[in-house]
Amino acid sequence: MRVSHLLGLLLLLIITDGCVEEIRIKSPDVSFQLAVDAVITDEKGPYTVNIFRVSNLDSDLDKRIPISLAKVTISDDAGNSELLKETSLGVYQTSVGGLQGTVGRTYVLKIITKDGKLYESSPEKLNPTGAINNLSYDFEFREKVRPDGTIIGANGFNVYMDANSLPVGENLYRWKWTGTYEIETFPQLKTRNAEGGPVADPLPCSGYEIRNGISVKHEVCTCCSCWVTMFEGTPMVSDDQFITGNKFNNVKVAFIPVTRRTFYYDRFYVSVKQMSLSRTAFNFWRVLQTQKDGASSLFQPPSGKVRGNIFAKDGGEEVQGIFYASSVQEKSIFIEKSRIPYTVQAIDTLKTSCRFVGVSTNVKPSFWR
Amino acid sequence: MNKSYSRLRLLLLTLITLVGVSAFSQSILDQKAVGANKVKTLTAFLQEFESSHPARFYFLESWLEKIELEENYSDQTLREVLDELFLGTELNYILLNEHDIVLVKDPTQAIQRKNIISTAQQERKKIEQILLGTSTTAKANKRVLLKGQIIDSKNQTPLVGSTIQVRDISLVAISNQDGKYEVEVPVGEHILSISYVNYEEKVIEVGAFESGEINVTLEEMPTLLEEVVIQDKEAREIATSNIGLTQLSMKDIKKAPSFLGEVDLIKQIQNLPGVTTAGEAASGFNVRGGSVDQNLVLYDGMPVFNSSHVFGFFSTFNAEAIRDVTFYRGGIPAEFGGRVSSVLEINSKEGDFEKWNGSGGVGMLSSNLMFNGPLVKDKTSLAISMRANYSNWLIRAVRTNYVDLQNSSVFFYDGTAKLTHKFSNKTKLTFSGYSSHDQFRLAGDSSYRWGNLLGSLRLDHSISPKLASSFILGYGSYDYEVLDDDPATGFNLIYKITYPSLKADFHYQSGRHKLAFGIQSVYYGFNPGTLKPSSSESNIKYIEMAKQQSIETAVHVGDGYTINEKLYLEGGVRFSLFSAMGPGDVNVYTPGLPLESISLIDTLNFSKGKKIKSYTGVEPRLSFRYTVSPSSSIKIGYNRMYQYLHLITNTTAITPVDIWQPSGYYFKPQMADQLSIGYFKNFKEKRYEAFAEVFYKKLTNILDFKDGAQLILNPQLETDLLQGTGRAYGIETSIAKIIGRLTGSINYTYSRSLRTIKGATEEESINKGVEYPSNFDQPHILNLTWKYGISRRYFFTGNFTYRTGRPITTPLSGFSIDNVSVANFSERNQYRIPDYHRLDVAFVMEGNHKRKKFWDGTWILSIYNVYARRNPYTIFFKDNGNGILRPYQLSVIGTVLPSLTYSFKF
Repeated sequence: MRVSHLLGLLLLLIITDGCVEEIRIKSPDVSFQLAVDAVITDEKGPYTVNIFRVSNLDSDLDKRIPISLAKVTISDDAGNSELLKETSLGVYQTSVGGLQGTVGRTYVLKIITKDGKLYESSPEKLNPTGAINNLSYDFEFREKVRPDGTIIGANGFNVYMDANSLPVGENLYRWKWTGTYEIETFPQLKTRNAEGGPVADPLPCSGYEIRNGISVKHEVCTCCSCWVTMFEGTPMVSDDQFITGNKFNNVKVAFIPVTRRTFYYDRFYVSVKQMSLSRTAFNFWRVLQTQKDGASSLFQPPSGKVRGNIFAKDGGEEVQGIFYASSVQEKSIFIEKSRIPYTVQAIDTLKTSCRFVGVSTNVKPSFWR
Repeated sequence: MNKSYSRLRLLLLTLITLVGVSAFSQSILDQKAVGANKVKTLTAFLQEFESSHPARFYFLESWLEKIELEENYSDQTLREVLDELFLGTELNYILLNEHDIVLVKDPTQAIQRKNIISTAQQERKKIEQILLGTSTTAKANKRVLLKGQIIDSKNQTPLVGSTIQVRDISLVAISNQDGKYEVEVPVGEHILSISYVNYEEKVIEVGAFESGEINVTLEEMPTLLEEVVIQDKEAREIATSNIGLTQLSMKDIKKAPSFLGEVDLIKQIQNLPGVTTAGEAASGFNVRGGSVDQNLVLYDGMPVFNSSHVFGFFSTFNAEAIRDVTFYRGGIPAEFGGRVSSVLEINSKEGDFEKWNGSGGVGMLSSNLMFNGPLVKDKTSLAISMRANYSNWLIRAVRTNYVDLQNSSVFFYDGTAKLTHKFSNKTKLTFSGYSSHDQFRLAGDSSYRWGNLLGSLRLDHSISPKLASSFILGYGSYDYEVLDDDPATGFNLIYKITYPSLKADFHYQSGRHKLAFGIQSVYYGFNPGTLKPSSSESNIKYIEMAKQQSIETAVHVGDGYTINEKLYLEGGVRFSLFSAMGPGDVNVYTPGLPLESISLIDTLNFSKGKKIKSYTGVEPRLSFRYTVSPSSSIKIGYNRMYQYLHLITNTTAITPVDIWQPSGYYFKPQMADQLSIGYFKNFKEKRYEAFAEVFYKKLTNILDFKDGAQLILNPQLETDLLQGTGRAYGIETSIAKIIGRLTGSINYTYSRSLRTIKGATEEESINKGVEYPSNFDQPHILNLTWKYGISRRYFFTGNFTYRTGRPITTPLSGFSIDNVSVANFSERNQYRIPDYHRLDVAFVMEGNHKRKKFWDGTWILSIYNVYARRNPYTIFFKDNGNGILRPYQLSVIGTVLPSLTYSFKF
């Protein structure tokens, strides 16, 4: 049921221009509210806690306002506790070799902001998880061409997972994927406008510089080759529907769109995690999933409140976000470009630093081969 | 005697100066009428009284000649005796000087009668004269009983609910299920006016000197004389017992401005006081703070589950096939039940028993045709109607950048058939069939299909002149299907309800009582959803939801009691029983924990026919009318109603994929208690009428969904829904001008609709258990309608509507967690969308008004949304490009929409 099309038909029914436009709904500014993004897992630390302010409807999510100089502590029910260090503005981390998440233990996050306000999470139990046994993928055509030549939808790969559930317990999981692809850019070809036309203006990281008006390579490029990380747009939580005999079979956990960038080179790396959740965290991710799923539907169900588990100690003020504890099982796979049943368009020449493409690094990840 | 006469003359002079002197102080009039048992005539009694009391009577003996004392009045007061004996005569009395009682002849009533007749003549109403008995034989102080039957001139069917108004003494009767009426009047001359919606009013001058039968045949209006319809409406407002009842005139509905020229019953309902709708073209309607599923829509006695074509743009009832429509929003009689907010009773037209005729309409979107006539003259008649939209020219004509539209299609039809056979004047058998169908397809994508199918066999039998019966055997079904034929992801989702039903109703009328009683039983079979892959390659998993079955049975009894000319009381009770039956499974969850799929521990199996869960409901109904004066009345209504079926939806309007869920192990039936009080008044010689009605409604066990609920194909629906309470209250006011070239009304309603869902935990509560506005809480509603007669054949009509924007749950801020953007929504329904308002006008051009003509055509030019207001059809949220969800509105009708319709009759 691609309801967006339904919307199209209704539009047409009106014979004339029905229209979609943004509306203003009178609502208060809540941009003073705190948001917390924090998780502790049974993987090796350090664990990170992000504290920032929520963004009002006119702003940009990428431009977070960090909350600095807070005292952030994670403690467990075994008497362990660690005061986190602020490694960059609003980002607090445990130390290497510090607090270790352990299955069965219960964790609490405590934040005291600069102005002395105390915030605390509800206790979060770190539940066990089952292993991911297998990942597989197949190609799917989704592209459609409109009469005016524009293309909607993208072809891509569906990624499927087989995993174990637990014989006892609640089987509350988040299935999270991240992707990585390699990309090459050409920062040495950058130009700037000058009188008489553009002139060469290579980025310093390209290893090129202008000598006597000519662009000359003098060292190795550090921003030509990068590995870009891709995140899921919609979180996914487990559903009992997929279980047969303590196993989740053939669960479609990801869709990787095929573009000139994602398949710049011959492969795309996908890592899938099965993360155990407490019931509170499960509800958080579940409501968020429906919020994302329903986002484009004409008969969009009224979205609900994504309720977190961090509260101001003096009551009143609402805090957004979540702190959760999770046991993580991971598996990864390379998707081969050769499985695309057609030739992907020619190279995309970006005359910029590859570090500017999404969330990227110029350090080759250890898993990349 | 002469002595008396001269005394009278003398006193008459003083009388003029003494007008207004109260005759009601503790006086000689309050003395017991001792001696009244000894004499036979009033004259003798007065003499007797004079001899035993310090009283003197002044009168002309000839006036009292015919007045005899038949009963023993000796224990009544003089006042009571005189009041009783003078009722309906032109005599009156005045007390002077504490002891002098002047009997006067008061010509007011005669003048009033004359005026009524001359007004009726001016309005070209039919006036008949009927004499029952003679004035010479009559006894002046007697009451006589007038009774008879009101029938349709064409097909001789009884006109149920026609108004018989005794104009000179402001007494009103309503005809019963057989079209029969009874009214007791004082001996003398009276004027009856008999009316029925869409029929020509008849005025009868009756010399009622003895009891007798007056049968009246009414003719359907050949022309659209608004005055007639409105007069009728006015009389009913004051007269009918039921508070919150509206009868709709199909003629008016057809003349109102329409959307794309489609005459739409449901859209007109939405203009009534106390009725709202959630969106621009949302299907269904909300009555007094109730949800859309709380309206019982009956077509010839059978419930209709989905009354909309094309997602609510049009309704599924063809106006040509409808005879009458009654809408109850308060004081609902005991014979109706199963929904808690309102009843919309639609009765279809019967075929003509005399000759064949037809009618139809040609619009921009669809055309309709209706034929009716005798199969066997005076015995059997048939009426059939059909309406369908054209091919997809409309869609194809649209220039759009949606590729799918080029190959898309919209198709709908509805059809009705009614076959009536009269075995005798007492027995009639009717078959009524109704079918509606919608198909909505997008090329290379999903298609939606839904339809209603109803069939009923009705036997009407008059057991005795006082006892009438009707029996209905019916079958109904509603189903929908969503089909996606994409090879990889194709699926077929099927949903279906079937509901065979049985009904027996009896009406007994005797004296001042009108008794109605009956029994009905409905079996519901639900297929809550089957999802099948539509091809062998499809990756869709087959899901078949377990079927559900239930039985709803109800008995009801009610009495309408005319206590006296001013007081009318209707009381009743309905006893309903609902059972969810096996086969079926019931999920069992860990006790003490919120119902969640993860706390499922067991499943109980119920075998076929075994009772899973039963509910009973006792539903008292009461309505009361007090006629304060001929022009005003006060009405009070109370009703309790149970509803055993719930529409499960998390959208604000009915969509074709909503599901109906019967009450059962987890879902308790909804219950509503409503109290309403109204005051009705007409003034300026009935040119205007006005009313104000207040109501308070309490709802229990209403359903709402949890945040993030998944409703379709959910075998554990109970985990995603919550039950709570609701309340609604408000005041509805209306002023209408009902006579003249310009007629119209202004309705204003202030009302609130609130919900509270407070469970054991926060997860099982909505908004932490704090009361919140329902989706359709629209406090201010203003409706304006008018019709201006440019000439007898040309009309300018229009309506304006304003409603407060409905509540909405909207994002307040955004943030991201683990690289996933999150919209921080408000608590439920805390904010509002922009207000809704719209102006529509229509120009109506009728054919000539000759009574006898072969063809009668009417053109209607409608202009919908005159000032091109962009009202939201739906609100949705879209990423603003920076990861933050912001509200957008889709206004499907963002512009002025003119349309032209031609309708005809032959």
